[in-house]
Amino acid sequence: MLLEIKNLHASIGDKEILKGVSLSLPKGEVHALMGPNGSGKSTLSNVIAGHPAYTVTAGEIIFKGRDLLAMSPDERANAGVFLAFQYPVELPGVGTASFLKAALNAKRAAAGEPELDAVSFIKRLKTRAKALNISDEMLKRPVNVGFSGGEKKKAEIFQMAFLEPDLCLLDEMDSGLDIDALRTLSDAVNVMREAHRSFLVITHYQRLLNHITPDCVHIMSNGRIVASGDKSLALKLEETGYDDYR
Amino acid sequence: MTTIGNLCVIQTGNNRRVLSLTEPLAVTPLPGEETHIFTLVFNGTADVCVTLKEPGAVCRLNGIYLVHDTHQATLRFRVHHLTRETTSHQIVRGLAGGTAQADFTGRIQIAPGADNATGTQNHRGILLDETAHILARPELEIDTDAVTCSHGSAIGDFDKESLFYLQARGLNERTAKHLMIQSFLFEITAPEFAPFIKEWMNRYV
Repeated sequence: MLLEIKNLHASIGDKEILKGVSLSLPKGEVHALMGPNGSGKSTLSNVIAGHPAYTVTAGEIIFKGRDLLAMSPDERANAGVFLAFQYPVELPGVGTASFLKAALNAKRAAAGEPELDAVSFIKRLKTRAKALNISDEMLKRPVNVGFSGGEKKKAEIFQMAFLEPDLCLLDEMDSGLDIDALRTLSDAVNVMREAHRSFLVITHYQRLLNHITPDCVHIMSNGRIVASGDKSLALKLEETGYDDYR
Repeated sequence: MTTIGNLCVIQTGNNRRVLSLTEPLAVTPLPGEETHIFTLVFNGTADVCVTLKEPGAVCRLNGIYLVHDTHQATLRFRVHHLTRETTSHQIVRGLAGGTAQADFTGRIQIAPGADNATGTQNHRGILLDETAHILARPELEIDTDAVTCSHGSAIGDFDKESLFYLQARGLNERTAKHLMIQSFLFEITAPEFAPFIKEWMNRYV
């Protein structure tokens, strides 16, 4: 099992948002997390990544056999957790390429590996950029600055492909994307599907799951996972809506 | 370890000078060539006084203060618009940690008859510790109606979302904060300041 979440409770301020989430994500699988607005989907992905605004009040998260909750956000990232943000942050004055170099070297240092030399770094950067149709010009721009909504989503998936995490948390990567961009990003995700890597795909819409076929679909409502099943669950939702689960 | 002194870079046209800012500096920009003044303050007082006395004169004033420990720094910008069609823009960014205190006073004075003058001021400060203090005082003295003036100031902590984003990419808190400072200052800093800012960050952040 790559990720095991047991009876997770988390709050923001006095408000409990996760009210006992349990979820097992085996290696190599793609699980979709669906649910109405405010059900706690994004909170769950933020808590896994270590967002400081949330307090975990009970439960545990085990990732590759390690207690994730005892680790800082950067330790989690370097252990192989990647959260593709719904709203990535802009960093004026910091170039995308140098930012990725710092991120990659942090990960390598955590694994006891030496820094990647300049030639290998550029090669890796360009290969991944090409696969996602990311131009040299975009790599030279400051992190997420002046990117359109679609470009920001693309940049997140590019960073993910570049950093090669084991656990990919995709928080509504389909929101605000046109059909072509959705296909491009889905293709990039599908290329990354490997035996050692797992995905938790958060989405409101079944549409994304036409492109990224999940092994399992979970429905979240009011801070809990209330149903799990295969991909037909998402199709059924499309017809019935979330009313049965509220 | 060296003590970092206050610095100033003045650019007029292609002419660029770097000076150590130990005494009050007075500058009188001439029309035709925009004057750009960059200041970097760590401790003590830096006082820059700009007089715009010919129509068409333009001055940009950038200020950075970086204070820590028990340091006290005062950055004072005074711009006198003595005549019509003169322009000044003040942008100040700073960080304060420890029990340090930073004090920014930005004065825009527009004389009677200095019509169509433009004077703007923008200040943002980041507190590294709750025990540090930042004081920002805009002083606008406007004695004519036909002017364009604006000022704004904001003081806060590091943006938590940005910090989380960088940490979620594997950067430790310190490296993340260094990048955020680089981003915070990049718009107004001078290349000459880079090694001093780096040294300050390495020491205090």
